[in-house]
Amino acid sequence: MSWTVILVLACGAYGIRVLGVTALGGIVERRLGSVVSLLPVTLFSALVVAMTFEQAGELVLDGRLAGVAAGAVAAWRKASMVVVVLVAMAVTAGLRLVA
Amino acid sequence: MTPRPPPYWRDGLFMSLAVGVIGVTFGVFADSVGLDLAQIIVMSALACAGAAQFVVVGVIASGGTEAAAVGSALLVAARYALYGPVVRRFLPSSLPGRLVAAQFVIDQSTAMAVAQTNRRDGSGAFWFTGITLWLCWLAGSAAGTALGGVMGNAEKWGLDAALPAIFVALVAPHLRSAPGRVAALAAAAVVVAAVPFTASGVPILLSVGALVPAALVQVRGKQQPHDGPASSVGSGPAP
Repeated sequence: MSWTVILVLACGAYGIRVLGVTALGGIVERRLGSVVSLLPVTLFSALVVAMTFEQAGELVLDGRLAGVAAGAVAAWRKASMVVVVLVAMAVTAGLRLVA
Repeated sequence: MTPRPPPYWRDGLFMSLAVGVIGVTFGVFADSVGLDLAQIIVMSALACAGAAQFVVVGVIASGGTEAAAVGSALLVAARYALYGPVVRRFLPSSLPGRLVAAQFVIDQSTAMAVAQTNRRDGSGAFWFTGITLWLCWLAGSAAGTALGGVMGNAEKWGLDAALPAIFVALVAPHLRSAPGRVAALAAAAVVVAAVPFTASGVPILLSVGALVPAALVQVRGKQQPHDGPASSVGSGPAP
């Protein structure tokens, strides 16, 4: 991989972040008002689904789903984040061990 | 004054360590594709964008052009712009302060900041999580380059379930309110519908459309004080 790719990615990612905390962020904040508080849950929920089901641009069902579902049950039972993540990993790893 | 450990240190530190382990897998992956140590360190230090870094290396590994690799990675990173308005109130008001803070705007620092009950803790959680996670990601990626094939297949350890599980834990507190539940469900639906038809990263951006139904529920909740956030029922009039 060329250094150009790395530097363009680095500058691009930083530029995106700066945009968010400066000009663009201000506009979004004014336009959306209290709806801004719903942005994190929206994006995190989207990330959960993408990270659980997506593989190379397709939706697939694999060991991740069982683990994440078990983690969700733990979260629902008010388990701490440490427990949620360890349960998810254990279930996914266990399933792959058996399969 | 009795020193009190800040409420965010445990989750912030744990997430950072977990992300550090994922950083190790990134290092192993990037090394296997032919990036050298300097390239991996510079990329992790400057870009510090977990998913986007996997995408850029993955696209090149699968034979894509460098332009396609950078383009897809920046699409995946584009959501960081949306965290700006969320965390702005926790950041320094000076421009130089914001330019430094911008580097630490990531999913986890945003989540930890908004989870706090006051502005001081929110600001502390942002910096603590952002910097700790940045250090762990950097150390992890560098270690992964050195480890090479020693670790074996990370999927064997269920590591690919760790990151979505972190986000499950971050979503959970938001599900207590009706608008939060609507936003989460609608966003999930958008991603399921969009993944087969769009490039990586695009479904996440499209999920912002979930704000529309969620905002309607939020407005309705404000108009009807009896069906406010305290109510556990999402639809229908409160008895």
